[in-house]
Amino acid sequence: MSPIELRNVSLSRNYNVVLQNIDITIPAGEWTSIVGPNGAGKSTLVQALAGLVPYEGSIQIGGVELRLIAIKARAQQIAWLEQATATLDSLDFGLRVYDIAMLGRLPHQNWLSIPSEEDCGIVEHAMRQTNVWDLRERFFNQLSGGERQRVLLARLFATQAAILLMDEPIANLDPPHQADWLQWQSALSTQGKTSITVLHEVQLALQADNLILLGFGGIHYQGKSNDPLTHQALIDLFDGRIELAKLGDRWVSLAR
Amino acid sequence: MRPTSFPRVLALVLISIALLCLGALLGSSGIVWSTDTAIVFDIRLPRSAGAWLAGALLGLAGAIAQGVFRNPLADPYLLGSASGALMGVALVLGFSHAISDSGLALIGLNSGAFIGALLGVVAALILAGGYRSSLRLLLSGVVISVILGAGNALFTFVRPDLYQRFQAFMLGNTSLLDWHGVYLMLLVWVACIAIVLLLSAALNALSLGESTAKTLGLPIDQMRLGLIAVLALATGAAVAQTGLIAFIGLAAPHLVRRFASGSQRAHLIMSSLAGGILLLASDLLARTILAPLELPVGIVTAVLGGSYLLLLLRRQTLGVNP
Amino acid sequence: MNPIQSPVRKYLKDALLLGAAVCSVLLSVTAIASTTAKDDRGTEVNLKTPAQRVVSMLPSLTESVCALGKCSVLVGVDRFSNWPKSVDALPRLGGIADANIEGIVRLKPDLVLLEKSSPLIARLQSLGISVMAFDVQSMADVQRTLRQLDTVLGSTESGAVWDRIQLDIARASRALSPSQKAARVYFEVNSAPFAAGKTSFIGELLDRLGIQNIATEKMGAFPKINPEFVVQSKPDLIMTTEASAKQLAQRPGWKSIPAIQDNRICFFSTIQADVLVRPGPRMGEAAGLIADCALRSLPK
Repeated sequence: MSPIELRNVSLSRNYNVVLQNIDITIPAGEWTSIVGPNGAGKSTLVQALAGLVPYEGSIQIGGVELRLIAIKARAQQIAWLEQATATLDSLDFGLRVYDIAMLGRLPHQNWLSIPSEEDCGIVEHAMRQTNVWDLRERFFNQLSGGERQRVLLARLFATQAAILLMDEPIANLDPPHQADWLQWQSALSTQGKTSITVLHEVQLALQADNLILLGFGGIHYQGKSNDPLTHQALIDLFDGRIELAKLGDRWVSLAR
Repeated sequence: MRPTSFPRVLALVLISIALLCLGALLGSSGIVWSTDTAIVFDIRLPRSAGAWLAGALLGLAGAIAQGVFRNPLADPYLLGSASGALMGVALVLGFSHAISDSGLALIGLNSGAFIGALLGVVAALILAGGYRSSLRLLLSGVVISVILGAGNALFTFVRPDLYQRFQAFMLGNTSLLDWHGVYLMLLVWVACIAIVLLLSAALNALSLGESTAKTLGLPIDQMRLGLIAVLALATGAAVAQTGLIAFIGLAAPHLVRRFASGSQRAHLIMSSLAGGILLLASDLLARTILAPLELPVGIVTAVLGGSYLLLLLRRQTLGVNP
Repeated sequence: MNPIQSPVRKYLKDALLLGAAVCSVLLSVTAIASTTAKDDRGTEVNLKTPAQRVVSMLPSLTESVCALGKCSVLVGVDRFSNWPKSVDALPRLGGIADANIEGIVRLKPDLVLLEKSSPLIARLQSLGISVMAFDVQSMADVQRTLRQLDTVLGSTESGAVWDRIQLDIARASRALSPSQKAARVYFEVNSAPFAAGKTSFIGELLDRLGIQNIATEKMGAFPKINPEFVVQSKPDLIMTTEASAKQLAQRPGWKSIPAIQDNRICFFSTIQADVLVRPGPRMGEAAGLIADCALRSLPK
């Protein structure tokens, strides 16, 4: 599978340029994490990859320009998880957990969007994976933040997209479930899926295969996460306010 | 649709049929089987069928409005269709002196209301600069309603002799429904249900928020436009026959929400059926309680629908699902 | 007598009698057979006979029918018809917004009399009921209405009724002195306030009586006027309904109006108001009410 290539990409919001001269190569089948200070444009970058934000320049997915891909094909290839701070509206439609998860299959369904046997199987598998299968008849609004997040992750996995974009996927998750998330993440990589996550927990980001460091206005650095040069760039990115230490075979970051 | 929805939809259909039969029996002389077939077939049946269909159209439109705008207070009139319809009526009434046969003027009145309702929504779409943002649409709908409302007030000021006719239309009236109107509304209702079944996936997707919905592979903006078109068509068709009947579009979706469990498709269909039942029941009460006098049907819908909503609210604490 | 002529004469007589009988039967049959009239929509209304069962949905039309002596053909009236007293016994069929369609149909009327702008016209016609629509706004309209009703009801009284109305108006006019006629009047129909303008039916009556109206022709039939205008015009006489009467003096600035200070205000009861606002056969009585008011309140 070919990597995702961004060449000379500029992103603007409301006529303000957020990022420019972006040149990134995201390897396929690996986990890439985007790290940077608040407001640098991490979410915007991920939204551009999801096709939600218009861009200048070239974004190529599997050799095809992103803006030329039909929306249904794009939805089948790329799945996007919104940042959890965007609250799902309070209008209680009585949506149950199962219905939310099933929405992940929409890209594969026809106009009448009637779930097939295969859809049901895939959704059940995804829900079992994120430990929400037992909650399936509960109303979504009645769940805790962590439970909701896991349901939304199930929805994401149910899409079975080759590329998964996740914006702050472990928000509201308690430590045990954060650990679970890491397992799901490595399972995704084993399946050959390309994951791109925005994480502000630097520890977890360091466990990715690749890091993209985003500073204000553009790319600060991109490279393998266990590369010392990447580490140095990371410390520079945060103005030397962090330091990295090795714990066992993993790196942790500590605030200085 | 989940399997559990089918028996509920069937229940609503059966209740509707029962009420229709009742509608043939009830009239200005109370609960009496009239041996005058003209009364039953030419007056009571079209009136009952028409009341159900108008309610069904308004219930459907209300469910669409609440789904598209993610707002529990949305009703079918919020995109300017009500004030547009009134403006259409005002223009027809105002120019009806040019139309010598006032029978023609009445058909003109219904068409005027229908066209006015559609134009009101179009005006809101134009003002919002397209169909891409729900919030902008909502706001421009309010603006259009206010502007056209001022125009209508001006009309009643300039032509005080027509004020009573105008107000009668505003309050809504089911007593003049005939078979012609019933056929029209039936056509529109069937078409709207068919289109909405295809577009309801968009409403499901929108439950996850507008941005996520767009990543699920559906042309969300175009489908939203389609839903708004259905909204305008359904509202216009109902308003053209019965005037502005309040509360049905707002209440019907809420009344069935707890039964529709998740599927937007089920919710839309059940809202439509519930709207029909609500308006027909109100019409039956309106013509029976004080027979041979008639209560304005809008009052009965408010009391019926409002009481049940109150009951629902008391049963559940705010923010928690039933 | 010529013996040859007698049988011929006999046959001639018989033939003439027969012919006369046939002719009169034919004439009366055609007279019963059909009546056509044009109503104010310009539509021809065809009735098999002079109408025998009539429903009236407008008070002034009810009154006109009775004034023409055909009260007996009325089988139902609207909610507001209340004159003459005999119509109180008839079934009431609602008003504009709440007309009882079933009730009308059940009465099996030959003819329903409606206002031109009524929403019932199309519905009743689609149910196969003959309908006549009238646009009664002015005095000329009343005369025309009476004539049209004559044709469909088979009466002949319209001329007499109209003459009586004119006589009553003339008498009322004569009773007023020139100085009373020179009085300027403000006639209020509604406390919004709406005035009776010159082109309204009430305005026409005032005109016929020779009394001046402070509302000008330009203002239209029932203008919603600025109360300040009344204060500035300083009318000599104010006419209004009992309901508005109490608060007239309390309106800002109105205490300065001489008519209010000298209590030159006429209050009309609801019954009297009914007479005044309906353009119908009681116009003469309406003129009398206005003249009485002027006689009572204004100095000779």
